[in-house]
Amino acid sequence: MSRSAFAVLLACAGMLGLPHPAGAHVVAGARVFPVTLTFDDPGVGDEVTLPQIVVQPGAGGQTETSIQWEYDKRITPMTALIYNQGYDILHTPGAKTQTGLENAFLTGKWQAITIPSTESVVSLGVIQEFSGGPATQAVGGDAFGATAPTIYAGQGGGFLPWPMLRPLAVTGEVNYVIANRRLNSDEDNGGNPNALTAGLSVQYSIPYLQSQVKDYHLPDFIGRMIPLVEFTWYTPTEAPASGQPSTLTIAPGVIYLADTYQVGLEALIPGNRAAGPHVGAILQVHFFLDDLLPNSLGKPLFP
Amino acid sequence: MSRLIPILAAALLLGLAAASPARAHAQLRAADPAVGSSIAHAPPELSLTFSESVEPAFCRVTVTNSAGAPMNSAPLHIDPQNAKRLLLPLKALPPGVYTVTWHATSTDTHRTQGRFQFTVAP
Repeated sequence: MSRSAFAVLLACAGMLGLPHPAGAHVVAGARVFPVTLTFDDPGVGDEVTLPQIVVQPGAGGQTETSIQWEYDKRITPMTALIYNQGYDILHTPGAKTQTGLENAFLTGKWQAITIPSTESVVSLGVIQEFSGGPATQAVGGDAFGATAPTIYAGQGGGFLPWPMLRPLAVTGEVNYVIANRRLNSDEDNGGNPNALTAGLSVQYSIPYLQSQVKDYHLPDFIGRMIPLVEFTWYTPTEAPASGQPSTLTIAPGVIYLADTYQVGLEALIPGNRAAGPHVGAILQVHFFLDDLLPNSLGKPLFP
Repeated sequence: MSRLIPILAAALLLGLAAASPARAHAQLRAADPAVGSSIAHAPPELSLTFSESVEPAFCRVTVTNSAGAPMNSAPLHIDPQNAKRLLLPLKALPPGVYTVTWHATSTDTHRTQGRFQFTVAP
């Protein structure tokens, strides 16, 4: 994992890592918020991402492939601990391929507000990045970790007066990333600047359209699709930050939402020059343990 | 060895999944009258078919007219032939717009809810 945990999320294609999704599908009234791919969604659940594969071409023919995973475990019905990590393969033409585990992330999360009637969810969390060893740093991982207080939110469009817009939903996340070691003025101590990161998704739920607005008798496969676009943004909040410019990544794609799992596929399009030179891709397979294994791994430790 | 971690974990997960029946949230899969439909004649009962088996004692379904008056003629019950289907007998519905509000609890106690309209054409 590169630089700060969340620089990773938004960082330059090929040179830095990619988003850690930390996700859980969330139900608020008639709304199901799926697990977004490039940032966390607004609730908690018992779930597993396995795997998430990110391919990011970089400059000079370099390609970074990340195989990532995640485990979400509810402690109580509305609180959870989430573990993320990945394994990176950094291929550079003419050089030895570098491989290594990414830095690990542990998130404590509280789904603080859930209003079914308005399809609203708000959660609070703290994300801790743990730095890895030399192999991790060889694939771009931070030498030092970071801590990020985080707020998550989701809002469904069921209240909208225009029926065809009611399947719309937005979700978002804002983090303030506090580096465990602050970057010094000479920018040579391996640290990072503190930073703000954010994610925003705009979704259109075909399942919601079919079950709440109008049943068009679409084929089941189509009826489970949620087209969406995700935006992720990173900016340092303090100097020196010359080596870490603000980045924006735009990720349009689609999620197939089955009863016990989902599959998502998105393009990773650099939104500015600093976000990288080429378009990448992200594929995620995510299982809902609370649906798959409701009597064992799928229930909170303290129901 | 590190490369094997995701593969082993996937195998473990799939093995666990195969060993245990999956029971997801009960999502509405079909309705009669259909969601958002316009029909010439209302059926004698509303039918809601879910993705999972539901517990009728913990489900609630109402059909109301534009004035908010309930239009059911008998209590909600489960289809004896299909544990995923709820049936609500209806009064004769004159032309108008009707709102269906449902709350369902699947057999593994997950709760879901929804709301839609249908129209009986003049």
